[in-house]
Amino acid sequence: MQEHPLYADLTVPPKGVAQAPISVDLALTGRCNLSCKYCFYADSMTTRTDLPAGRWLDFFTELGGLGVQRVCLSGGEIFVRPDIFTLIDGVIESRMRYSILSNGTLITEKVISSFSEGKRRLRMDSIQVSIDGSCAEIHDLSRPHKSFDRAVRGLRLLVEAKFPVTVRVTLNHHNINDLEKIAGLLIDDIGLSGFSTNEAEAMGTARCSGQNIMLSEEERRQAMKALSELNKQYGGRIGATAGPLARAKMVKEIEEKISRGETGIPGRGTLCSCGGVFAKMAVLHDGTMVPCNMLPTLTMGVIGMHSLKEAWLKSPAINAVRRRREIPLSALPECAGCRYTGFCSGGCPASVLAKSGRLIGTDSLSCFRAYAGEVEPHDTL
Amino acid sequence: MEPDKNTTGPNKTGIRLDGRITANPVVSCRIEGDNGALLFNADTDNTLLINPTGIIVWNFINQPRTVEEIVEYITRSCSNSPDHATVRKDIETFVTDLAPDFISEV
Ligand code: SF4
Ligand code: SF4
Repeated sequence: MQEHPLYADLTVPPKGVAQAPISVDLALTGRCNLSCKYCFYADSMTTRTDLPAGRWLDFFTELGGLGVQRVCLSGGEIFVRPDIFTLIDGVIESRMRYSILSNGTLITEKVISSFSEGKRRLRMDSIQVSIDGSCAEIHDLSRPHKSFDRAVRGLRLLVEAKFPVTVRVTLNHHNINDLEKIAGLLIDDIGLSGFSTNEAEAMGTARCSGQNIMLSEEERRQAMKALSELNKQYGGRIGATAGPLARAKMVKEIEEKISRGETGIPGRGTLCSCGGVFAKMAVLHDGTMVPCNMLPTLTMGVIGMHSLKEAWLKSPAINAVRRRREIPLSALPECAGCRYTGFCSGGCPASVLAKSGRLIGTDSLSCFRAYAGEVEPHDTL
Repeated sequence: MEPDKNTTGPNKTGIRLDGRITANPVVSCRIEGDNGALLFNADTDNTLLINPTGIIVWNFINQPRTVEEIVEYITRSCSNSPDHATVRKDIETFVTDLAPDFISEV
């Protein structure tokens, strides 16, 4: 008899899990010079403290020994750490490559020139800066205080120095009418090859700011349309793995398949939307290991106290997220009678947990039936 | 045993099979269950999948070795290894595959 995923022994990884993660997301600090209105990490930032460099360096040695290939360095804002280059050099020493997520405001000529030492440039995969408006009046509404000029200055320095720079635009209540100008600034003026988008989610400070920052459904649909048109205009140079543009692509794909009489997409029909936990995990700035930094309450252990390999393979927290994909959508109360289950993957588990307090459930932003107006969104937030 | 004449000079990857080679220190080795391991050169971002015998060789070249030393080590370590000439040919092919990203000459 097949074991039911809900009652499975979660200390045993499901099939297909590698012996160690390929990449690990590291929040190196909980400190930040900004106080964004939609910071998903805000709750963790107030309750946890930063690890000293030595603890990170020991952990990097452990990662390198397991053959982890890449780390993504974020925070908070990593450039508030005065020892950030000691940490980057530790990553390099441990035979890994790295990428950076930054708000861009602390990137100066001095920072740029520090990257020219040793293999810091050679090993960098990418550095991402967040830009949320085409001008200070808009960007600063979601990313105070007065950060636009500094962020754009940092971005321009990175572009001029030919860093592998990317930009993330987070769609929110304040910038949905500014998308054309944002694309103009980033692609036409600054010269980026493209940029990616997502949406302010009901986590951290956004949960408290509510509709003052998050999109209403009407705004979301407006953004889906505007971004799809802009993306066409810019030859597909606007990307998204979440948010309105990703949703627009999902809706288009499902509508096209339905019109051709298809009843599903191979690999869908279960809570399978997150494949990340099969290849990567995260560590919060106090050393807590978690499946993803958007799932900070699912504790797998603490670096230096628990072995990463043991946590990766045997932690019930990450195995519970992995085994979601064995749960058919048809078994969930909110999906009963849905004719789109064959197209659906249920949405991001972190969004589900943040909005409904449970892991086994679906995110209404990924629900085609709700989009089609056949049911009301079922999330609380 | 003398190395084969036609395999001693630099081959197409630039590695000499009559010198000493060692694992490139920027390369990590990631065990992939029973299938072998994945070598990763963090400088070039290149990977190479090696089989379980390849892992034995990889661990042996953590210090400088000649191809002949590797052949002898593998012959000793593996109870059912084929004849010396076959092992030598396999090791030469393997070393050629590892060059230039995953090993260096010393
Ligand atoms: S979203 Fe990023 S830049 Fe903004 S407060 Fe949070 S950590 Fe800082
Ligand atoms: S479309 Fe909505 S109701 Fe249907 S399976 Fe997906 S989440 Fe459930």
